[in-house]
Amino acid sequence: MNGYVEAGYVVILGSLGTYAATLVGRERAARRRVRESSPSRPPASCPRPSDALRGARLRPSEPGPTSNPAPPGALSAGGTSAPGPEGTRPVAP
Amino acid sequence: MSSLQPTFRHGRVDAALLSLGVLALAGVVATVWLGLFVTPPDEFMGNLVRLLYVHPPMAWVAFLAYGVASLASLLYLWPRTRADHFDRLAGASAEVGVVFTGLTLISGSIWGRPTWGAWWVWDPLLTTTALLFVLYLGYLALRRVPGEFHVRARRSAIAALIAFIDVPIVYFSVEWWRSLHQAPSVLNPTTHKTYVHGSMAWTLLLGFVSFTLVYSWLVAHRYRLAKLQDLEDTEGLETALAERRAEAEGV
Repeated sequence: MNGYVEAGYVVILGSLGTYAATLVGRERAARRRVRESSPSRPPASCPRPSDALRGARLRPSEPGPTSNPAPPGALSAGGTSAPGPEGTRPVAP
Repeated sequence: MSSLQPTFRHGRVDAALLSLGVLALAGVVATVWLGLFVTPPDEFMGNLVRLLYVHPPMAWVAFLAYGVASLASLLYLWPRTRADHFDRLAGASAEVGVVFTGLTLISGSIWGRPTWGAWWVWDPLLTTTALLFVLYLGYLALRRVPGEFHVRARRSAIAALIAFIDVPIVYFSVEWWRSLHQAPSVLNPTTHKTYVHGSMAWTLLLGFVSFTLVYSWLVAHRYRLAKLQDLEDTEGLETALAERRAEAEGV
C-alpha cells in the first residue's frame, strides 16, 4: 500500500471519532447543567417566558437592576439588555 | 414548548442508542478490515481502490443527511406538521451532513493526488460538492443568528430547501458536463450496469450500511444535544424571570 490510503483512513476515522467524542461530551455537559439547574425552576403557577417576556432577552448570570425595578407583569420593559431583534428566545451564553 | 421535556430519564432510548453505536462501530471496523486487508488491489488503480470503500459512502451519507434535513424543513414549514422537533432534526442532520461532505472532499482529494496528479481540480463534481459544503455551512451559520424561535426556524427551513437544490446537481454533474471524475460505478443510471463485483462489492455495500448507521447515531446525539440546549435556554430564562419577579416583589 502507499501512504495515501493510510492517510485517507486516518483522516476519515480520526475526524469522525473526534466529532463523535465532542458531541457526546457536549451532550453530557448540557445534561449535567440541566440537572443542576432543575431545582431552581420556579413553581408551575408562574407564567412561562413566552407568555410574560415577549421581546426581552435575559440571562440568568446578569443581575437585574436593583434600583427602579420593573413592576410585576411589566418585565418586558425592564430587561437587563436590549430587546432582541425579533423576539423571545433567550440567547445562549 | 411542550416538547421540551428532559430526556435523560429515557433509559430505553439510551440503550437503543448504545446498541446502534456498537453496531455502527462494528460495521466500520469490519469495513476497514475488509477494505485494507482482505479485498484485492484493483487492476487499474492498484491499492488506491481501497479509498473507495469509504469515499462513496461518505458522499452517500452527506446526500442522505441533506435529504433528511430538507424533509424535516419541509415538515416544519407545512402548517399541519409544524413542530419544534422537525427544526431540531433538520439542524442536527445538516451539521452531520457538513462533516461528511468535508470528509468526502478530503478523501477525494487524497485519492485524486496520486490518480490525477493534483489535490484539487475545478471539475464540475468537485466544484458543486464544494459549493454544497459552503451552502450548508451558511445554513448552520444562519441557524445561529439570534431571533425568535419560530422565525429563526422558518428562515432556516427555507435556506435548507434552497441549499438542497445543489444535491441533484452534484449527483448528475458527471452526466451533464464533461468531467474528470468517473461516472457512478455501482449502479450507473445510463448503462444500468454494475462495475464492482465480489468481495469489493460486499465491502463497499458494508461501507454504505456502516456509515449510514454512524450517521444515524451522530444525528440522534446531535438532536438530543439540541433538545437539551433548548431546555437549558428555557430554564435559564425562567430562572431569570423568577429572580426579577422576586426583586420586584421585595421593593
